[in-house]
This record gives sequence, C-alpha cells and structure tokens, in this order.
Amino acid sequence: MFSAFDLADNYRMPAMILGDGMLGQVMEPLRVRVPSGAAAKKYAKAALLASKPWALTGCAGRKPNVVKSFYLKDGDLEEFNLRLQKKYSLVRAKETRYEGMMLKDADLVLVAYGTMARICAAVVRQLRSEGKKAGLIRPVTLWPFPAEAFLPSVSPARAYLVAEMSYGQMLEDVKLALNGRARVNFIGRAGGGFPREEAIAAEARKL
Amino acid sequence: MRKIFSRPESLRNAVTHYCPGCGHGIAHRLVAEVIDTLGLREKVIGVAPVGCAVVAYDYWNFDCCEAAHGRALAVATAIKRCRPDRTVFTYQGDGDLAAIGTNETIHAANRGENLTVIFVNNAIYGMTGGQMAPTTLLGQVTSTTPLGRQADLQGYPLKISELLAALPGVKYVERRGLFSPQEIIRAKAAIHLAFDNQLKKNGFSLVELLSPCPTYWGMSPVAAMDWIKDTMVKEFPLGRIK
Repeated sequence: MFSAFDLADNYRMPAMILGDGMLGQVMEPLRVRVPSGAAAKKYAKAALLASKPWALTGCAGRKPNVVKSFYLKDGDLEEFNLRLQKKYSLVRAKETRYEGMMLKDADLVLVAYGTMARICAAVVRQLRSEGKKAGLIRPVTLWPFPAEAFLPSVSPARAYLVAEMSYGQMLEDVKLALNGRARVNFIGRAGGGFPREEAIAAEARKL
Repeated sequence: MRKIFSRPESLRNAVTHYCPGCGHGIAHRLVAEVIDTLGLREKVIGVAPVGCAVVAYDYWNFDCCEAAHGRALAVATAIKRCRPDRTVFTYQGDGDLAAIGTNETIHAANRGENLTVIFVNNAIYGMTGGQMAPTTLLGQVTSTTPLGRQADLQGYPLKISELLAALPGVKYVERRGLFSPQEIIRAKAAIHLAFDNQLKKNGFSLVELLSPCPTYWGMSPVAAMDWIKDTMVKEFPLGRIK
C-alpha cells in the first residue's frame, strides 16, 4: 500500500490499489513499523521522489514544459506510445511482485490475491496437515502479473486452483502464464459471497 | 526605427490550426499580451481544455497542462494549491466549461479557488463538427438541431456566467465580445483584471468571451462578427456581471 504511492511517483503513472468487499468491511489491528537508523536511511533513499524536470513550476530559466497526451502530428502519437511501452517494460522487469508459499515440492498450487489469499493460505495448511503437498502463489501485483511465479523452476506443480471473489478475473492470466503445461481449475463467488475454506479444500482434493 | 507592434513573448511563432476567422487567435493573443504586461510568463501555468483550443499550449510560450474534457478547473485547483505563488489559469470553451465540465466549474467557483478563467463561448461545438452546445441560441441551426434549437426540445441557452456570479466564492465575472477593435480592447482590460485579481488573492475570476465560429455557423468571418454583435449579445449581454 505504501509503496503504491512511491511507485506512482517514480514511474509517473497511476498505481491502483485493489480492495474487495471483505477488505472494505473489516477492521483489524495494524502495527505500523516506522523504520529507524540505517533502515530509515535506506528507505528514505529508496523512496526518494524521482526528479521532475517535467514539472509545471513556471518556465523561469528553461523552456516551457507541457504536460499532455495529445499529439496531432503524424507519427508523434506513435512515438509517444513507444515511449510508454518502454516504461511498461521497465515496470514489468522491476516491479513485479508475488509471494510464494511451499511451492518447491507442491503437487497442487492455489492461486489467490487479497482476502482469498488469506483464506487459501489456511487451506494450504489444512491440506498439508492431511499429507497433501499443497502450495500457494499470491500475486502482490496483478499488473504486472507475476508470470515467473508459474515457471517450472519456481512452481513445478501440474495442478492449479484459482480462487477469486469474482467469476474469474485472474483466471486467464494464470492460464496464459502456464501456457497449457498444467491443469487449471477455478472456484469463485461474487456479489458479496466468497468461497469458504471447506469448499476450496474440497475443490482442491479433486485435482 | 521605433518598433510599435510585435508578437508577445508569451506567444510562439507558430502557424495555428484554427479555421479562418476563428476567435481563438485573438483570445490567445490577448491572454499572451496580458501575461507579458504583468511580467508573469515565467510564473504562469495554463490549463488547456478539450476542444478546438486543446493545443493552445503549442501556441503559448509558457508552462501548460492538458486536462481531461471539462476537468480544467479541477486540474488548475491542484496546480494552484501545490504552487500558490504561481499564477494559474484555465482557457475553456463552452462545451468544456459549461457542458461536460459544469460540475467542476461550479464547485471550483464555489470553493472560491484563486484562479483565472478565460471562457470562450461560441455557442457551438467546434472540434466535433458543429453540434448544439448548452450555449446554443434558440433557433440556432447546428448539426444536431437542423431545425434550430427549440426550447421545448433542447432547453434554453445556459448562462453559466450569470449562474456562477450568484456564488459567494466568485469575485469577478465579465462578458465581452471579440467582434470589434473596441470590444477587443475591453476584452483585454477584463482579462487583465481577472489576472490581477489572482495576484491580489481576490479569488475566482472569470471572463467570458463571445467568439466567432464561422465554419460551423456557416457564415463568412465578417458575417460571423456581425452575428455576435447583432444577435448573440441579445442572449448574452456584454458587460460586468459581478
């Protein structure tokens, strides 16, 4: 959440923080860890706001700046798009984030984000206690999507279960990342309902 | 030889994309002249609208920002609040300011933002092909009112300047026309006052300029100027509103 602001500032593009119906309704205690000493210095350096030679501050001592996305001349808009594509590639390379849980030896991997990820983590523990080798991939960034988490070297499992509080908004991303090398099932509910632990575990046992 | 007339420093040496007889060239120049006179070129930030004047930043020679359609005053609010020591203005047409941006316009005015607004009213949508605007006169033929605007079908011309003048946050509203040298001089004086108000932190100032659109009015440039003088001012009377 905090880094979303710094990322938006550094890359000069919007960062969207996704919530869901559960996150919007619940409260829980939160310990805010304020870094101190060397950690604070490191954070300050990392979060140092990007220099902004483009900023609109009045054109004293420089050529006028214009903040715009509209280009009339033939070819200019394409050039602008190519510049944006370069930036998107950089963001993909540097800012893709996910959390992997017990992937190395897993036969079956759950894939979930947000509220569903916490529920799925409990399901993974439940399945492990039954002797089933389950793991979890929790994308932290949905764009850029962490396709590398699905590489056989990271997650060799051949069976995946995507769990969402929707009818499958991430499902296609997972299928694209796996590119046919594994079986992908889905469980999801919408409109305020969410798959419970037992339902997910039952679905996972089928795989 | 003494030089008595030249291009303002705030205006670039550029060929504009405007149609022959369009009022934007005059309005751009007036804004540039006032900014030069007040010595603001290096301290000013302009916000361009969506509409024919979207590329105003290609013609002005100072910092400018684009805004989503109608949102110029919301963007200007942010710029001014981040940089209260800079002069910030919006330049908007009637489609931008009085149609899609009515919400942002009214709320920025009601908050009494210390901003200057140049509102160019040509009673029609120019960029998109001459459709009816909220400011279109009754009986005026446009591409979407081929029989002329009718009150029972399309409502009445929106007098947004009078509406805004009713708000306590608004300090200065004046309407001028760009149809004669005398009126253009008055328009410049009004623009000057609107910028001066901001420098004195007086609050929200707006100058409405009745401006010709010969292309979509289907008139010659001269006839378009006459139409403002003889017809448009009856619906939109000139003078200081507040």
